[in-house]
Amino acid sequence: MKSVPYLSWTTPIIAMLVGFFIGAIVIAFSGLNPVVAYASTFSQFFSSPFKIGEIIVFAVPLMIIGAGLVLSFEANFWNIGAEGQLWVGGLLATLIGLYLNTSAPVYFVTMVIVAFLGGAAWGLIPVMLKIKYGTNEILTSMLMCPIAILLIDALLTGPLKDPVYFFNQTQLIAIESWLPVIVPETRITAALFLALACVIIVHLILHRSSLGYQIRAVGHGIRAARASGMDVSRILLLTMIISSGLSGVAGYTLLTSIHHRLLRGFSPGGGFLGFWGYGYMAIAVALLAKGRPLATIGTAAIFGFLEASSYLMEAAAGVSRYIMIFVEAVILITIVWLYKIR
Amino acid sequence: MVLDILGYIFSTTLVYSTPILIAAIGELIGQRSGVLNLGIEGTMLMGSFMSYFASIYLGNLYLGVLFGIITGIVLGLVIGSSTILLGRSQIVTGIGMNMLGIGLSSFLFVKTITDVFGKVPPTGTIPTILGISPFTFLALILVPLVWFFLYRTTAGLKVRAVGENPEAADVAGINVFKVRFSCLLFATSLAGLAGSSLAIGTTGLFTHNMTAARGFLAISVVILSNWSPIKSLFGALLFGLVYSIQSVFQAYGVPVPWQVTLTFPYIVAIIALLAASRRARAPASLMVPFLRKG
Repeated sequence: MKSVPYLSWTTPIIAMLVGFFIGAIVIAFSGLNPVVAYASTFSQFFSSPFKIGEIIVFAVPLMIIGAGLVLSFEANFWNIGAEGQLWVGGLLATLIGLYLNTSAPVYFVTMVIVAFLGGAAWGLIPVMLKIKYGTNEILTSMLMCPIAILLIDALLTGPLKDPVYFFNQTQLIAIESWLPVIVPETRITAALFLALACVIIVHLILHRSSLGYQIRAVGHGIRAARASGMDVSRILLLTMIISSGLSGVAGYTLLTSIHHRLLRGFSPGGGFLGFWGYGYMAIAVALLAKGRPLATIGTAAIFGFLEASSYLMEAAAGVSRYIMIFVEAVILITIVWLYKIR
Repeated sequence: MVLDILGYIFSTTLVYSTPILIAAIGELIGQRSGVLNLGIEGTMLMGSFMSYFASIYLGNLYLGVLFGIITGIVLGLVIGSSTILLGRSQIVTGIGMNMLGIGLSSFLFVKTITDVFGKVPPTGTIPTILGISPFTFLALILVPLVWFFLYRTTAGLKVRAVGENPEAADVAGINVFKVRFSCLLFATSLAGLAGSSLAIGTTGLFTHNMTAARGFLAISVVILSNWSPIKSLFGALLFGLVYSIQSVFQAYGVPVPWQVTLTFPYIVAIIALLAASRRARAPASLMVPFLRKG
């Protein structure tokens, strides 16, 4: 993605208003009152700290994946397979949580590393195909998502299934591996610190290191980068390892902060078995951040708010939460129309 | 038993390949003019839903098909305004349209079934001719027609010129915007039609995310066939065969988890893309926006 003039803070707000407005038209078309739906939803946020906290709970994985995607999009490498990478990272972390018996710090370190490596391994396939054979990474990275999630689903209904319960889920992971809640009465855990650290690390890589300079050079044009002596294959490989590894780490945070087990619907929208979830939302989070990793904190918060709203809206007003996927899409398209993203 | 299975595969391959072939033929024309419609997945899904929805409410399957096509055209106008008129990223616009397709179709689907019916009502399917769906006939006729259009007509020449070198085409007096927009609308209307063929051509039902990446498979077919209409028939048949084998696994109770059989088309797509990538030669201006400097 070419660097572009920075988005002002008003643009996402305008896009959000457009999104909610068009969403309201669709809600009205379906025979519900959009004003009542929105009002009853947003007033819910003031009813308990838990509900406000959910915004951050949803934002945490989006921030981690989004920061990683910013990196690959800056290299003009279209990794849209974050969802699969997240699941593979989550799967490996679950195996550690289930079968390793150790202390909390050791759990933390091994699970983060293993989740990172799992995500990176899944992301390695599209990038290797791109480097070696020039295969279109948009298609391969996307198709890797349903493959990962379907195969993991087969494990969840088969060998990894908790024999006690009817649901397709594993047993709970060891309680020592759970991340501690840092704000009482919410589900906000220490994963927030991990997410902020990931965002800052990506910022430092992209804007303060020679690798970041090379990544941006590759993004501006592969030929020019190659002509100036850069090893484009190595740069793309490193970019993708970091980018997809972070998606795996997001799987770790979901596991140790929210679910404490691997299950169908691990990433919301898992009902689509690989076609919706944090990995797809984070694409929009990263695109809205426009090449600035630090901005993913803000854009992830916007999408965290939308996701938290979607559940409240379903509970409070009986409006199916799928409407928020539509609103998110309209926001993305509006931003694309208003501001040139490449 | 073996003959049964072979007969089953033979008779269903064409059925399964129909939606992919229709979508791929449209996508091919769009790409030949330089426009990659990555939003094909969302367009197909919306076309699929709208034709199902219209068939229920209007009680006429043919009006359902019409709604599928209209949906394709409407979404094509949105995509084209972004990518062709404003010159925005075709990838980002496509990602947005796919999100839109999943969200809107699922929202309206939930609303329809919970409010009005409480269950998923079948619409029935378009009557077959000699045991073959009219959608399949249409798809098979489109292949030579599109070939003839591209290589034997002046308009087809213009499309190829715009896809290879829009600046030169512009200098030669061809209206690049008009050509690209027309090709994109052809592509998206066929994507909508492909969605109809999935919903009311074969099953008479709609489900969440019914297309399940068939739009991406259609793009893969275009790449595999090296942007040739005739070869894209074989690309679509390949995926039809894979879907057919998948259904054999499920129908004959082969002891493989159903989730594993569902991954077959995606794995085959990746392998096929890999095999094709060395000789794939895309239209030179594919995904490059044309903005007249003035």
